[in-house]
Amino acid sequence: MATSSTHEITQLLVAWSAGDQVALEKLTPLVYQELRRLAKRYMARENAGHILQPTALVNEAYLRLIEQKQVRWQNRAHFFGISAQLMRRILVDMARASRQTKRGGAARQAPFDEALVISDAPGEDLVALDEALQTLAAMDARKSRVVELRFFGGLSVEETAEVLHISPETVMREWKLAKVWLHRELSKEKSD
Amino acid sequence: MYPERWKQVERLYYSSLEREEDQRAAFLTAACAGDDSLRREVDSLLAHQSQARDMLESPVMEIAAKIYAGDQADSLIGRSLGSYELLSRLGAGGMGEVYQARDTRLDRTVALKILPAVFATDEERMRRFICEAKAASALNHPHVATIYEIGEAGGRNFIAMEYVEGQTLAARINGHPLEVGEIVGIGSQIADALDEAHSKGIIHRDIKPANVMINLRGQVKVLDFGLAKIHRSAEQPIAGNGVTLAKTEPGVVMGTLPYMSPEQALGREVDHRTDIFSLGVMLYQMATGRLPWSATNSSGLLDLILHAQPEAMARFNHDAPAEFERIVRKCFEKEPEARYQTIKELLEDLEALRSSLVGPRATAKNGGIGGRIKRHQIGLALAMIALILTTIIVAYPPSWIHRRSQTAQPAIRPLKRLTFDPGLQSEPTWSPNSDFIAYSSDRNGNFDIWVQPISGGDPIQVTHSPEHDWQPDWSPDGSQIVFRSERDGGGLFIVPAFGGHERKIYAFGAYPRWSPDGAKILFGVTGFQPKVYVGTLDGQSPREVQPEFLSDFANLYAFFWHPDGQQVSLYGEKRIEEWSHWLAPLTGGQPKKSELDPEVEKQFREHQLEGVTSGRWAPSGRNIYFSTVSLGLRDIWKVTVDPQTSRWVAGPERLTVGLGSDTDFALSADGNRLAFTMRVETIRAWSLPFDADAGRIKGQGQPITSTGMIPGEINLTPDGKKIAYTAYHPGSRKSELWEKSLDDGREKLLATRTQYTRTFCTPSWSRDGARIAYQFCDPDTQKNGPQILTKPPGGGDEQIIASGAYDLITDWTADGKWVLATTDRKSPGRYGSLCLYPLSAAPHAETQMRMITSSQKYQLFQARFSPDGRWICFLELKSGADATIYVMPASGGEWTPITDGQSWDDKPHWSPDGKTIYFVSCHTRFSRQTGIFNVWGRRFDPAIGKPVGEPFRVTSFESPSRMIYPNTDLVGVGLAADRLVLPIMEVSGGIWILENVDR
Repeated sequence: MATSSTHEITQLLVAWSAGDQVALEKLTPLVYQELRRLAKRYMARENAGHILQPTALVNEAYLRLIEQKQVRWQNRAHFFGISAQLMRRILVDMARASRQTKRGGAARQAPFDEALVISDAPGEDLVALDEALQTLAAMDARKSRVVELRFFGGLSVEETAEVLHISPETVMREWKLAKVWLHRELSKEKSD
Repeated sequence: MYPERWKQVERLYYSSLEREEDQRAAFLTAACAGDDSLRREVDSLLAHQSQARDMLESPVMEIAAKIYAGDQADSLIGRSLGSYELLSRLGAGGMGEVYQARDTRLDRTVALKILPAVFATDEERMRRFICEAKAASALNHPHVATIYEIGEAGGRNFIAMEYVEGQTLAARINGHPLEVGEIVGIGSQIADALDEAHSKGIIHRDIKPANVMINLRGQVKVLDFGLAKIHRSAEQPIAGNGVTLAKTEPGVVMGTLPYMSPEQALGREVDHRTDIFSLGVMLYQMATGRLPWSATNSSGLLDLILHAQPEAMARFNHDAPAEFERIVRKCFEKEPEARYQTIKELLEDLEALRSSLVGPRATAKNGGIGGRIKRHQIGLALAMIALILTTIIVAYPPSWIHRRSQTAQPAIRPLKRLTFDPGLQSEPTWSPNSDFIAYSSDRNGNFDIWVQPISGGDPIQVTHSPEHDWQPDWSPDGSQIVFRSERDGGGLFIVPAFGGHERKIYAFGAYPRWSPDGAKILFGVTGFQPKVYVGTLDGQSPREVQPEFLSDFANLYAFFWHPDGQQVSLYGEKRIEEWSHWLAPLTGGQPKKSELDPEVEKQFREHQLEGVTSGRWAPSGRNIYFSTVSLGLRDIWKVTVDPQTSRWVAGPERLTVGLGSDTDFALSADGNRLAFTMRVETIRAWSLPFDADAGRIKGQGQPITSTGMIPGEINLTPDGKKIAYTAYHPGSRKSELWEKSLDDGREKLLATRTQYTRTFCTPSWSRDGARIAYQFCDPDTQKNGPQILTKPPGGGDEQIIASGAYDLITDWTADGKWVLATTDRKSPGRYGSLCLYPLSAAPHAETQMRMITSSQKYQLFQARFSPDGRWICFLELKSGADATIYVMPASGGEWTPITDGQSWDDKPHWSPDGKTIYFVSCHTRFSRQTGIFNVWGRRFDPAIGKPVGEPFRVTSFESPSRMIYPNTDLVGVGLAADRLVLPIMEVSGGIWILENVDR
């Protein structure tokens, strides 16, 4: 069931894809709002002692967010491509802002760092990931796009294949190697 | 890394994976043939292969939600909990948030751990926990962080403990081996703390580097004694085998499980010997910088902990003494009985080892405990200096690092946006000093030339004509700008760079470009029948460039100067041949075709590059940049050219990955920066209120199709209530046939195919709106070739009318018994005839078809019956943009021209009273480039079959930012008494600057 806010998000997404830049400014706080709601629910479930199934939870939220079944996007590929870019942009910006707040708030080396729930597993630092993806794009744009669509866009292998007009097998191949490359890049950054 | 180098790495990586692990090394040695950096690159990727498997597999929203949840917790900062004031957040763990706080009673800084609400809800569990924490708080030892208070305030349970300023052992290790002396020092202090705890019956249970602080004096403090037990409350049984794990949530379990003893990991009862095992893991990690066991998931890790022996530390740290290896191994024993039985025994062995280390070799340097502590301080100081140096290097890389990164690393290309207006800002051109960009903008309604400082600041309006001024190009000496203007019949003009007297140099032409020496101007027209000229600044009669050579072109995509000023690049398709790039001497002489290296050619095919619209040479003559489409996405690409042979030796490399169409670009004089337009195009069918008898548009209208697809041929029912249309999808091969009611907006997908873009063509309603006829062509599924079909609206079975030819249906007879079509049956491949198919002879109506008229040389399209059925209007198309509309009697006979053939006229339609013929027309010679279509009408006398009076204009499209979709041959127009349906393209876009494009 679409709430008015998800409906609005969809409309803005449509406008943004049609070139309305103002739509992005309006869109960002709405995505944040959705994220807040999701984070709250995420924490509530954790506190209730349930086993988390974040994957299902988040996929559902993402689907609601873009309401893709409601709007008849005839060019699904185009829409998926744009949604993935949008999510990347907004989430990376958010992570960057969060990072700065934390640095400003605790300039000293903080103890307990390994115990952070915000894991420092490669890939979970969205800012570093974004930067690595840019590097990857300069040398292999398609792999970078595959990661953007799969990870930020939440697309299945088949959907990614549709967007990029390549076979699902190629997507899998590209995805695997892109991850290996990213893992190495991000591990490098951490240990250097 | 350059893309081509990367391709090489990629190939070897895959080839290695296809081989058995034990054969990879030999294979790579042979394949790399001494290229060590290649070998290292492939090896390091292979090393990361298994670890990368789980990466990025959880949805980004989950990670974002976690970050967000963390931010939310920050909101406690500045608030009070009992007598504690929360100052900042130090971290968060499975047991809650940890804050730096101020104890206002004792005026001291503490670390405050706030427990998750879940623990408060289970009283029994909470009681046990507090009991343990209280016991731990009784510990008073120099190497244990003291617990001050276990309390509750405002409904939150918290633990206040000693605040240790310094770094965690995890941060100290940070993936690197420590010196053995330091390891033994740290290990002894931890053992000392554990010995004290164990003697009081307290087990830590969560010994790991993150729980060990090293304060600023190099002293070790162990945190969180006794608190670990709370973890067990969250344990979940794994179905079936009775094995339990700590929380299955990723991020928590992986942080702790690696340090667990086998009995702890199995969820069995543990005693103090579990801490000995965990300390062993930490010793190993300090010595090697890595964990003894690592796996990609918790069950794999569990298996290793239970069964595997870690690799010898000496493999990763040659300085690790054999005695140290023995000590650590003894901690690692799977059975608690085989380990050190008390931490004291371990402590004794560590002390003994330390004595041997500070024996004869080290005594001169370090004496006793004092020396050891001093060494810690020195070590810490060195670490800090190293950290500062690292920071400086990152911020100000010395030139040798920079040089290396230029050859080894892919270029980082910062992207910056220059214009932010709504509407369309495009066609950037650089001032020679790269301080300004001139461009065309419709921010004042129509297009004018503007100049904007790169450093920011307001744009300066250079031209002010009420007609469009665009296509600016900045002169190499920086003083002037040449541009095309539509004023005064259209032509090329020159204006001082920041505004002033504007003078006309030519009365025709488009896309003017200064020669590198600033003495000549290149201009012309691309597309079909291209012409390229070179002119002078004072407007002397221009010389045509390579006219004979160009006359052979089926399509010229782009023309642009070579940096030597003697040659011009011509990029397009010669007849029959595939596209090529040619370097043509300006003064005549044989143009030279650029050959492509096989790899470059392969890349072009792989990316399916098509639709080049503009090109530029790098000033160095080593690269060509162009705007081209790959799978529906228009971006700027680059190829590397051998300047001697003009052979394309590397690339193409995609430089921009925008969400819009990246086009209309220019390079800065140093070749380093690229300014380009990011265009966003929306193509939708619009319904405009219309008075067909009077020939007047009566309002703004509204879009009736969605964004994200291109409405193809649109056909309106005679009553104007419904449309049928085909839809195309950029970047996809999908083809669709839709029906939509314009009364209530309901729509229905009648048919779809995914293999072939133009499976459905030219839908056409019967006069009563009861059937739709269309062409169906699906080479994959249709053995009989193309067909013409009919289908009831709303869906239902299709009926074959005829097959075997690519006939396009455009109308029905009023009685619904015949369909009118254009056919290539008489001249295969050329739609040279109009014909009628009787539906009574379906599915083989071709056997009884009736020819109406034919053209000897050209093609006929868009035939429609007049409302009274006496006349047919149609189009004769001579070439891409050269078409004339005629009328003839419905049974065939003499053709009467309605338009004069001087413009590109298309899509003729009858008004419902049969007294006007409407059509779209683009009256500029350079239609493909600057022309804008409008709907025109011409009165017609049905009694005599002749036009009356002059054509008159109906619509008023003036600007490329909102216009009738110019690929008119692909799309349709619908017309009824009160409605006009048109495909309208709206374009917006801004100018962006990309740096380092020459790297």
